[in-house]
Amino acid sequence: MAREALRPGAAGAAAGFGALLRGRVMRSTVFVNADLCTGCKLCELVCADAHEGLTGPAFSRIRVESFPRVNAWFPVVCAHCAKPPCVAACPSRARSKDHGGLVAIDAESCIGCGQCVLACPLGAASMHPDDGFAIGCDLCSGSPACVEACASKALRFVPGVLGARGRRRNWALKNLARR
Amino acid sequence: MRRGGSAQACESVEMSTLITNGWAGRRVVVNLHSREIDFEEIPHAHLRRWIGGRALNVLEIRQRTVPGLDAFNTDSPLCMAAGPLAGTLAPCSAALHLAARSPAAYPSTIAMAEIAGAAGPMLKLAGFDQIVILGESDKPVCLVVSDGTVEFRDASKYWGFDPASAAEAAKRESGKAVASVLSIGIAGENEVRFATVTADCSWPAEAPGLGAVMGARRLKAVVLAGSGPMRACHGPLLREKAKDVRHVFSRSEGIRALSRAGTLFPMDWIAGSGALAERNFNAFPAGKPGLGTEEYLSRFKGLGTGCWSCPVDCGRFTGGEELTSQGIFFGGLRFEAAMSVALRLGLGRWIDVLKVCHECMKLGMDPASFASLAAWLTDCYERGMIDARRTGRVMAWGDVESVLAMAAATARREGHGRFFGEGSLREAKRSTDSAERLLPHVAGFDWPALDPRVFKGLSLSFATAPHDAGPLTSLACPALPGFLRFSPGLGKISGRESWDAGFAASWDGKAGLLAHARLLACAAQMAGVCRLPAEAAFAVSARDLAEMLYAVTGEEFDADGLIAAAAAVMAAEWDMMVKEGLGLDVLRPPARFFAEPVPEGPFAGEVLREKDFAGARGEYIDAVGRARGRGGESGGGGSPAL
Repeated sequence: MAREALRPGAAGAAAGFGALLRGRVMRSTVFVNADLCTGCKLCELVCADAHEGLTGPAFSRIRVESFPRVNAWFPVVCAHCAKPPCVAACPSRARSKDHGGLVAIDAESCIGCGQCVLACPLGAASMHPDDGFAIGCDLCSGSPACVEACASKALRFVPGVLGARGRRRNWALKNLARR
Repeated sequence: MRRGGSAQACESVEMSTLITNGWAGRRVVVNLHSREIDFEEIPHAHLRRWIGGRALNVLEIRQRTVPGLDAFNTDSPLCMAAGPLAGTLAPCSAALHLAARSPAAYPSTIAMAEIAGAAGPMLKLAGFDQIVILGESDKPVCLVVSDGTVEFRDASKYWGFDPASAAEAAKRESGKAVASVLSIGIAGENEVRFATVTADCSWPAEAPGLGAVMGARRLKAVVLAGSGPMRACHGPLLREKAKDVRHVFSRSEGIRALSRAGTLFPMDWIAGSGALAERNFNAFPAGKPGLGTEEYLSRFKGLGTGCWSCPVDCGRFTGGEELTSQGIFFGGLRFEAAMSVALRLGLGRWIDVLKVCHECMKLGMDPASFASLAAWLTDCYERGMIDARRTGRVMAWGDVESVLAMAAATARREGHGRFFGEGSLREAKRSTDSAERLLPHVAGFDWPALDPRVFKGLSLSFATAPHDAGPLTSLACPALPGFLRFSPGLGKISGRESWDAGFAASWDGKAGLLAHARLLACAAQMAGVCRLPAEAAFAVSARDLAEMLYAVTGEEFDADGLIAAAAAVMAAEWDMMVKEGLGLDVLRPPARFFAEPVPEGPFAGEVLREKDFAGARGEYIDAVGRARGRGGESGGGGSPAL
């Protein structure tokens, strides 16, 4: 029900976003600060290892775009958008927005058409190099391996409970303590 | 070795790139002249015994060359090899080891370098443990190694480019989105004997001369692009071990120092120590406060960047308003380059030092070797031993514009640069004996910035293996106060519980420390891990390496066996030098450091003494020999080949 409610254009969308705003369903994400990224690509390595048990950049759900000459590195990972174009583009409904705000992939339903790759404005959607089906960030069940491995703190996990409302609350509590 | 199939240029050879035990089990031998590509299987037993990286390269050069062979001879191979840990979760497993006969050495021996970036993993993920390059192309060429295939691409369009521009062009033309590129600059093209290979636009190989070897073969760039997966034999074990090592890194003061300032971290201590010898070891200023680490970081940013899977981030990009306003922003500045340019040339300002380093790197030559050459020429000029007809210009200490002009002429081999490009020793040999004596070198390897009369470990390091003498092995570890904190075990090796500035100038424990650091570095380079965390910060032990090797390969390794194999490789390198005529009488610090005491400053009166030096050298050789013996048959110790 929640998945249907969050699908853009679905009848229950308003109710779904209402729930989001009330803080009951908050969007978790990996927050990227590219200024801190040093380009070590450890995130790619541990991601591929966590999901596939092997290393190889093509198997990673997070990818680092590199501009080595100017020392610029941009980790790109699924933002689990509130209105995900990949979900809208998926003809087999393999991609969906789940109860916790996560863009989930149902491997059984995926037909490997690649529409999600074309639709994602970040370029964060990709296909498995071996079987050709869609792969994407699943936030490692709430404890992302990439975040844990990132020594430069360029990646931070922002869990749903620390979404906008939670952050407002924390800020208010800090100020309250000063009084 | 069993030979596999042979393929002609641009022909793809389908090969499985799934690597399940750290070794691809293949090497590719490329002949640039005939355009022949041979794929060879490397027997598992050979890999088990010699592990990879540096050992594979040393054995290959030993097998394919004979004593006296010129570095530019097309039969002399240029080897690149990765270790089994390359491309895995193991921290700092980005290293690619390069080796060839050295054009800088006199006579030619072996030149080796570990290259940063992502070259090691890319070679491994492309399905190879080693590339051996032979022959000379008739036109500029770029080699593209990708997922089991090797292609030749025309590099004429970017022949003449600086290393960074060439790397970008080669990568673009290869069509590989994820790739590591090794390239050379103008100095390499013109076979300047101290030209370097640059990785991924910025990171120069630490040994001079390999760029000239590439240039002599008209090999402008090598693109390494691997996407094949790699699976560790014991994945969960590797995951845990890698996590443990990263945890040790996060607590190590040595790693923290490297993370904060890169390899430039010792400069503050050195600048304030009074142990500086400027102007070709002729002047001894009381201190050099303007050349410290803090000033570099605050004025020129020193932005950190990391190699593949490396949480240390010791690479440094140099910028800041003063430089970027002049269009200068570059990566790859290292301690030995900065110190050599600053001290040997008597440059007192960071901005001048950085301009010279940038210019050298842009031209694709080693700043430290160039500084040695320019300092020797200036010294001889000031003493009236040579004149402007020989140098092409009026020489004066601290004249940065003259140095920059000389760098450009050297790299392009224009005017007097055609002689300078032959390197400092060959240039000095055109002079009188008294002028040649002013050049500090060991068998053609230029001495770095620091005075061996003060830093005794450095004299021992250069005398025992000049091709492997890095200041961070030989200088920083044994000399810097505070290093004991990084690894309490070092206290036992050195016989000291606390170190101070006086320790730098003593021989106490130096032989044991140097042997320890160097064996560890060699083992790391065989395994495919960067040597810095091992030898400079002592944050990776032989046991760590052995455990990670077991997790990746599934083969039993123990620390003693690993160190013994490293000792056997070092013995092979030594053997090659001896066969070239480099005996104990040649492999020693320059005579002037035995004859002239430090005249002033806190280390006044320090000098090298024959007896002390010979004793320490004997102790070092014994320590390496003992390590080799401890491994028995499990390491390389019992190899009949070595």
